[in-house]
Amino acid sequence: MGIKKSYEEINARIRAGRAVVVTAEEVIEMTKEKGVKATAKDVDVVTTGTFGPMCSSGAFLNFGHAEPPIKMGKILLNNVNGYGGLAAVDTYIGATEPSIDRGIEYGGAHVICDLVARKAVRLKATSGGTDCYPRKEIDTYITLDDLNEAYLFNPRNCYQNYAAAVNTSDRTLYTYMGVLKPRMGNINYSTAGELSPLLKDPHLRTIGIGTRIFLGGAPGYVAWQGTQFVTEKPRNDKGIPLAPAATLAVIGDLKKMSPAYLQPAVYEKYGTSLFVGIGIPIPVLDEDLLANLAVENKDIHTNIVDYSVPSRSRPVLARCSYAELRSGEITLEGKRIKTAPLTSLHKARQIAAEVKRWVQEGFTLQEPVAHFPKVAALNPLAIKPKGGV
Amino acid sequence: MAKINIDQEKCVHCGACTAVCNSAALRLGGDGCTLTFDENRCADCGSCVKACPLRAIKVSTAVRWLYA
Repeated sequence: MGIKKSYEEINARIRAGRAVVVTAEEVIEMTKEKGVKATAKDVDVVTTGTFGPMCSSGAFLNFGHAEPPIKMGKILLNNVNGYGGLAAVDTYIGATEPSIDRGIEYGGAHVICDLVARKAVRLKATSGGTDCYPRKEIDTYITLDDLNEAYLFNPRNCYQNYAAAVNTSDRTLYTYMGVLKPRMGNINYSTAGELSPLLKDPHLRTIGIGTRIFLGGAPGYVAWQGTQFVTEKPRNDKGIPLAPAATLAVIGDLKKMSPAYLQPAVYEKYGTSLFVGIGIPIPVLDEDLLANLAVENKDIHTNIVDYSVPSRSRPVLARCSYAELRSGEITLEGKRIKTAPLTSLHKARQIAAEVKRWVQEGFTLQEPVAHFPKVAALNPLAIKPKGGV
Repeated sequence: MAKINIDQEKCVHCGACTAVCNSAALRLGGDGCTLTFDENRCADCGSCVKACPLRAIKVSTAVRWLYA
């Protein structure tokens, strides 16, 4: 009879301090030594982690009311635009928003991280003024502790796989995948591979709405499927999608986050982004799940895509494993090409270890309150004439 | 003489700088998969400075003075 464990059983062991918790790298070695069945019996929770640039990130902030109050319309935080269409004193600041004075060198991600670092941020806002909100402008300084609420809400994080990037043209490309040198001078890729949360539960059996996670150093939640979420992509023999597939929308209390796990980034001639640390503890419910958790970089594959083609559908030049990408060099079309990650494996390991410590100290697992839908494909944005719907 | 300085407080060891380092002076490696810099290999091209998304790499003061 196969191994079966419930969330209740695993959480009871966590509360009693008896749960066996290992990281996604440790479980690989254990499974090689003991096999799937014995490891599934012995291990209760496997912790994952990733730390990479996740552009689709941002934060909701509530400033509180001034005396007399203002209904903020145009909002600037350290000269970065915040959204002004959320009633009087709420805003959403997006990570990729550039500042009006320093451009991409200081953007929304920097504002978010300055707040987390407890630095003062200049708030300027203007309004037309109303009878109930008579003030027309405000210029002040805020800190994270001054705000009523501040929560990170990232619409699309934690991609389940992502294509590696190469450039076959004769000019250097500056992209969100970093600098791509001409004539296939380098290949950049973005994943924590065998540590990455959605690659270790490829069918999303334990990750859904309500899953409790590590987000930026604090407890957070999966709020929804991320934007551009797709499940029906071609998969390899381990069941892992071969192209970008599932994503997560995540939420957490910015006031509890740490600068160590949330850092602003600038990609030359592209824009600002935010390095986000995410870790997900995955319960070992049965042997099938353990087999997924024990998958190695050599069993996870992605496509190498030519970014020099200015199209939504860029040509795939080859397919390779993350073990090959991690080796530092790949041979493509007879040429040895250097590979480089954009995700920090060093920090991903720290996160998986931190989540392991959390669970050992009593961080229980939340069964999804709802599972994600199956999504066959993304809708493209068609360019239509007026009335051409 | 080190030609660049890496701010260890800012560096997250992502590896973006290694992609543009033709001389392999910057590498990710070791058990911790951390960034290492071999100043003897550095070609002083400066490509890594702007490739670093954390803005953790600066040309060292001495080199800036030489080229001023």
